[in-house]
Amino acid sequence: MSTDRQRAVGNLKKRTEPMSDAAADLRYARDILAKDSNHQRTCIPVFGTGLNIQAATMAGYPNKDDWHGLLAKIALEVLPPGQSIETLPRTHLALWEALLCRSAKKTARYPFQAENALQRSICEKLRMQEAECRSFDLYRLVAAGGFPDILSLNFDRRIALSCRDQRFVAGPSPCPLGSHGETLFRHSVIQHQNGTTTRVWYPHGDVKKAATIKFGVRKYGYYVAVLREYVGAGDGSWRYRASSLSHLADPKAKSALLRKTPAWVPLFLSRPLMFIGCGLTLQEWPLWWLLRRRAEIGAPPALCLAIGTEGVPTHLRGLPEVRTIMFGSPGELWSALLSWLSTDAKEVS
Amino acid sequence: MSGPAGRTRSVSPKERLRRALRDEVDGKRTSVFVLGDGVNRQAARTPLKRPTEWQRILGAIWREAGGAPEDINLVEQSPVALWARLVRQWSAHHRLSRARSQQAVRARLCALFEPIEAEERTRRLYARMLDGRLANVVSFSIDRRLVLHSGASSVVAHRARGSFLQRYLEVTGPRGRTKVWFPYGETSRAASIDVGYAAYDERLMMLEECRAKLMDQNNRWDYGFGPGLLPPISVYPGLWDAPPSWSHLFLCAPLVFVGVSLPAEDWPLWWLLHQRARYFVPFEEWQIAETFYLTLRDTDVRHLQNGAAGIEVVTFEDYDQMWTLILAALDAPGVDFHKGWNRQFGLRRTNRT
Repeated sequence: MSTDRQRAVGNLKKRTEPMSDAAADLRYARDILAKDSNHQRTCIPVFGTGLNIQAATMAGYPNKDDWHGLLAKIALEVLPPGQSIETLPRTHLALWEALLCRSAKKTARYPFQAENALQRSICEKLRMQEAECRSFDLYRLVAAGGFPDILSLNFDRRIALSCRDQRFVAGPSPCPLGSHGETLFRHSVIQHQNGTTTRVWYPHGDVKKAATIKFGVRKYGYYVAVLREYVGAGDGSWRYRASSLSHLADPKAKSALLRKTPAWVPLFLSRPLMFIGCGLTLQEWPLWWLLRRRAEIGAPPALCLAIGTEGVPTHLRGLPEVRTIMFGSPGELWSALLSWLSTDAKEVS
Repeated sequence: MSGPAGRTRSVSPKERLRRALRDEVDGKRTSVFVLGDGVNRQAARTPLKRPTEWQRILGAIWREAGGAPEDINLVEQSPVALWARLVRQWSAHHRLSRARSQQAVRARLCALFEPIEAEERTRRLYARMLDGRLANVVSFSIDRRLVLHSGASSVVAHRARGSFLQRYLEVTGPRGRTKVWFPYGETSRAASIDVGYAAYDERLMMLEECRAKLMDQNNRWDYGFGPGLLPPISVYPGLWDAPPSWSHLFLCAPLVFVGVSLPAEDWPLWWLLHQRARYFVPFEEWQIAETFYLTLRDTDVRHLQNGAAGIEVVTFEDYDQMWTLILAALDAPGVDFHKGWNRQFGLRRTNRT
C-alpha cells in the first residue's frame, strides 16, 4: 500500500469512529470515494448484480438478468414440464444445490458433474447477455470512475468489455493454490486514455472459464478455506491426499510466488470498500469471512449502499464490519453514487 | 434408515416420522435426534413469548459487559450473531483481547448455567427422551440438562480427542446408554464452547476431511470412486453404535431436528447438510436416510422450505401435539430393522462377530 493510501485509511479510521448517524454515513461515503494526491481513488467499489439491473434500466433494455431470473432459466432446463421454480428452496444457495441435485438425478450423473454442466450453461447464457449489454453507458461510467481497482461479484466482464483498450490476465499457471484458487488472480486490465489503468477483479469467477465460477455450498466452503490458506492461516493439507501434495512440495517457492502475484485479497483487506448493488446476504460466505477478518485487523468498516424503505436489514445492523446507507430506490442510489463520482475536486489530506 | 420399512412418499410425513422413530437395531433406536433449546422450553413448559434461559443468560452477560438492554435483540438475532456481539462487547468493556473475552464469556456461561442445570435436571421430559433407547443424540444446546437428568446413573465425558467433531457425553440410564454429542461444546468444560463464527473456516475444513475419509472408507475401489460408493443404508449399520464423530451421523443417519432453528449463517452446519443431500443423489429412495425438521405450522421457516438440503418440514398445530407424537413413538416397542435389512443385504457388518 502506498503512503498516500495508508494515510487515507488512517484518516478515515480516525474520522469515522465517533460517527453513527445518517449524515456521518454520507460523509463517510464521500470521504472514501475522494481521490488522493495521485488523483486516484483509494476506495474499491464492489459491484453486485444491481449494477447489471441498473445498466439495463438506464439503457431501456428489457431483459434484466438478476440472479433469480438466471436460476429460473436454469430451472426450466432441469425441472420436468409444468413444475415451476416456486416449488424449489427459496434461498439462492439452497436453490442452486437443489437444481444441481435434480439435474444429476435426471441425467444419471454425479452432483459434481451436474454442477460443472450447470456452470457451463450459466456461462453460455451470460456470455450471450454480455455481448448484448457491453455497450451500456453505466459500465463505461463505472470503468471511467477513476478507480484503480474494482471488484465485480458478477461473472460477466461487462465493465471491462465496455472499454476499447482492455485485456484479460489469467494469473500464474499452474495456480499455486490449485484450481480452487485461480479466482484470486484472474482479472481484466483496462487502459485509460490518460495513462491510468483499472483492474477489474472477479472474486466469484468469470465467464471466460466456467470452472472458476464460485457458487453453491461446496464451492463456497472450499473458497473460504482457500482464502484462509492465502492469508497464511493454514496449508492445503486438508484438501490434498498425502500422496498428491504436489502443490505443497516447495512451500517457500509457493509463498514467494503468492507474494509477487497481484491478487484482490490484500486489496480487500486493506482498502476502503463500498458495496454497491449487492445484497451482502449472510449466504455470501467468502465475502463475510473476509469482512470479519478485515474488522479483526482493524480496517475501517466497509460501506454498503442498500435499497429499502424499512431501515437497515437485520443482518447488517450493529456490525463492526459494515456500515449501511439506505436508499429508497435503485434510481436514488445510483444517482447519488454518480454524483459523488462527479465531484472529484476534494482530496484526502 | 428408510426404504426397507416401506416408507414411500405416498405415506404422510407424520406417519413416516413415526415409523422412522420406531426403527431399531439391537434394541436401540437408529434415528438421531438433533435437539436445540426448544427441548428445554418444552421441558420447563416455558410460554412461547418468554425468553429462554439461553437468551436470559446472554442478556445477563451482556449487562455485565456494560451493554444497554435496548442495544441487543435477544429474540430476533441468531445465537451465532449474539455470541459474536457479546464477545465484542465484553472485549470493549473490559479492555481485553478477543481471545480472553471469549474465555471470560464462556466461563460466565458455565457459571450461570450451573444452577439451572442442577434445578431443571428433574424435568420428566429429559428422562423420557433417553428412556426411548436412543443410541445417539446431537445437542445444539450447550447445557447438560438432558444428560444430567435425574434418572441417569452415570455420565462419562469423552473429550480426550479434543476436536469439536468428537465431543460427547455418554449417559447411562435405566434403559441403556446414549451418546449425546455437543458440536458447540458443553458446560462441563468452558473451553469447548464455541457458538460464534470465529472458527467457521477451521470447522469447514475439518468437516470436509471427515467427509472425504468416510467416503473413501466406504467405497468399493474395484468399481472406481463414484460407482463404488456405498449408500447410507449400507454405511450406517457399520457405524451407528460407535460413530467416530457426529458428522458421520449427519452424513448417513436418519435425522430428526427438534427445537432447533438451523440459522442460515451457520455455514458449517449447512455445508454438512448439503453434502449429505449430494451424497444421497445417486441412490434410490430406499437406500438413503430421511431428514425431518419438526416445527409449528405458523413458524417462519422460509430458508428450509421446499426441501432445502433434502430437509422435510413436518408441521404441528402446537408443541404439545409435536411432543405427544415423539414420546408416543419412543414409548412404543421398536421395530427391529435387522430382519428387513438382512433379507435384502445379508448379515450386516458389526463389530461383534
